[in-house]
Amino acid sequence: MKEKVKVFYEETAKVCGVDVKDILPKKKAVKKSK
Amino acid sequence: MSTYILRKGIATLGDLVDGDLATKFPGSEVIRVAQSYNGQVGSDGNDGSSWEEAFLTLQAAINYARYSKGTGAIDYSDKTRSKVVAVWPGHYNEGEILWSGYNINVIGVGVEVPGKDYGVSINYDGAADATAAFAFSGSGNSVQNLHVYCDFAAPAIYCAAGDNNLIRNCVIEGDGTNATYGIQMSSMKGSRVEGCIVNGVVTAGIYVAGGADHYFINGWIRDCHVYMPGANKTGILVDSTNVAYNSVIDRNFVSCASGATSKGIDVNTTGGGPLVADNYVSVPSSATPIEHAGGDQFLLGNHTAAGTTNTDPNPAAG
Repeated sequence: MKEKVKVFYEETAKVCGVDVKDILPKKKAVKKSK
Repeated sequence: MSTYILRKGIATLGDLVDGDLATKFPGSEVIRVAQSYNGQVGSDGNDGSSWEEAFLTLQAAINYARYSKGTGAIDYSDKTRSKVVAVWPGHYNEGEILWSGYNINVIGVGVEVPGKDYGVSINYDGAADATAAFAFSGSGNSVQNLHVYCDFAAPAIYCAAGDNNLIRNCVIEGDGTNATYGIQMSSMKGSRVEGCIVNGVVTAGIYVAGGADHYFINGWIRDCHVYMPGANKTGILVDSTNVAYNSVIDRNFVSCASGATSKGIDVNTTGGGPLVADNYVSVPSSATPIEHAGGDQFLLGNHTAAGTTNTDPNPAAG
């Protein structure tokens, strides 16, 4: 994650009083190779 | 004379130049940003106090608005503060514009109907590459009169968190291949999306997300036009894990022109709403105009067409 994006989510958590993990974009499932 | 519109009333650019926005935003500080004003290029070394002293970049102007004076710290303790970031017409290609703050109004001026070459266009050249073309969070903010273009796998406008926010009279244009959502609202407690136009995104035109701290309470999605061609798309989507009541999705126009299995309006949360009323939805016969997990009591007076089957008004699930 780019530094600018990381800062945005950290600021959002601080300003909105929410947990960073609740607002981070959900990662897409990655298929494991056999 | 050019004008800008605040939907409930029109003020002239002359008013704005003279700093008369106080009548619309009493007590607000107006901070101006202009790539070029009368041939004069803006500068991020300016303070935005006049068009001649305008910032060059939107990000710098918004930062100036949201920080305590003379610091790089966000002022979010004083919730009575109010700032207007007035944006002069032009193309603002800055990569992602990201910000969090309180009571900041970002308003494009110049024309009443923003477009790529009219009024304020953000990410005109597809410069952003992650998160969103324009993302914000916090409370009491508004984003008005902007055209936003998105050609990468992210929302065009993304409200990451916060209450009492307003997105009004924005035109969202996706590239038809990558852009995921036109407007993504992580939470809509007291927030409103109104008068916006969305087309060219691949997942949903307007999306209200679910999860912890995600709400759709005392808010609305109103007077929006959403066009979603292609299969498996949704015009307006509300997640199942969103806590929703006393909110309204009304008077929107949604078209899923060729979208087999698409849904015009899809509300997956149960409980107290949101009420879906008086919307106009057109989909192919293989698609669903409106679906509401809360049941038919939350569908009232909608107007739907699924292929050649018209139901107008629609008393129950479409």
